Amino acid sequence: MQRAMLKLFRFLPLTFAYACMTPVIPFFMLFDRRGYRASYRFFRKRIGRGPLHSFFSVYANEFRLGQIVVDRFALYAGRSFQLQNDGRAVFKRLEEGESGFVQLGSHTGNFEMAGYLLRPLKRMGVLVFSGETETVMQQRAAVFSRSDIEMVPVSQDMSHLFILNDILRDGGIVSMPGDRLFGSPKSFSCPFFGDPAPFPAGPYMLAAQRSVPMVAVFVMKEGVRKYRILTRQLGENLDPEAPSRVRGEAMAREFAAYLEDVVRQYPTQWFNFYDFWK
Amino acid sequence: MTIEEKIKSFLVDEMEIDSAKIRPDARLKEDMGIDSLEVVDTVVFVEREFGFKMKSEDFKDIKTYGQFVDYITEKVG
Repeated sequence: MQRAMLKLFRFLPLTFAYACMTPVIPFFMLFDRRGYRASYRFFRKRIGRGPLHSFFSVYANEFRLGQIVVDRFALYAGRSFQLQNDGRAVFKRLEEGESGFVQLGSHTGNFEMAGYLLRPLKRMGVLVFSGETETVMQQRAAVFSRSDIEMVPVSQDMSHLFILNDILRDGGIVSMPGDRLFGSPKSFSCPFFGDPAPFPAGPYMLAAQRSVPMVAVFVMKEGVRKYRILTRQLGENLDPEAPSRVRGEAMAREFAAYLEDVVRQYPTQWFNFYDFWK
Repeated sequence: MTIEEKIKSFLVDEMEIDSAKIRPDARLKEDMGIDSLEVVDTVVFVEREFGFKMKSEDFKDIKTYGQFVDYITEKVG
């Protein structure tokens, strides 16, 4: 099925694929009640929209997610996308340095595009969640193999953290989400849209312990085949002598503040369909 | 500072573990609350402080604080 879809996406106009989704979205809204409620509450409480506006925003939110999935398949099928990279200078400076660094993304926009569109010069380890089909994993590996990008699946024994640690030690780039707990329940509570929300301690502690730079990267959809990359280095003004826990938490707070700015600009590209604040 | 003092200082100052819990027979996970994530922090600390690389397999035989100190002492010595 997925192989057939990949073949289809080599030729199918993206706008046609998007149009096919329009009648399907209401079913998702109707049957995925947990996701619907989380998205509706997000637009009502966090973005401050009225009830009707929030209802239609949920539709737009689900539609955007569908577009992101379609774009991902199109990418695996070999299609190209336009890119506006606002953070090229930051990324280039970090890449030219000897030290490795951590690239943080989020479940907003299309983070997976970052590895493909940025085409890093250094070795990059991308943390991926297992559970996806072999076809998707193979296509993703094929796309990433054009650059020196290695997928590192999350494992129960946390051995992925050792692999990522090795990549950082050898001066490479580690790419992972900075907004979702995985493996370890340890978190930093950070102000986010007016209330404290848990952000995973792992990525921030890894960067703080190794004293390597950390950069937030968001890849936001702006048009049918256009993406914009937003980048900001975190923790630049922190005291390097401060305990790693203090530096880690400060970077988590900076990330949360930047994420909030970006999500306010692109609210329909927020894809955490659960109560993020619990 | 001795090897053990350096390790203890890291556990108390960086990992915020109660110094009363740090005893030779204390189990790293159950008694001291060190989870897998903090194991990686510990690996980075060992690499930085003692100049050698630990692997995830090394932790399979290290269950207590005493065993951890002995392991480091043996490697450094």
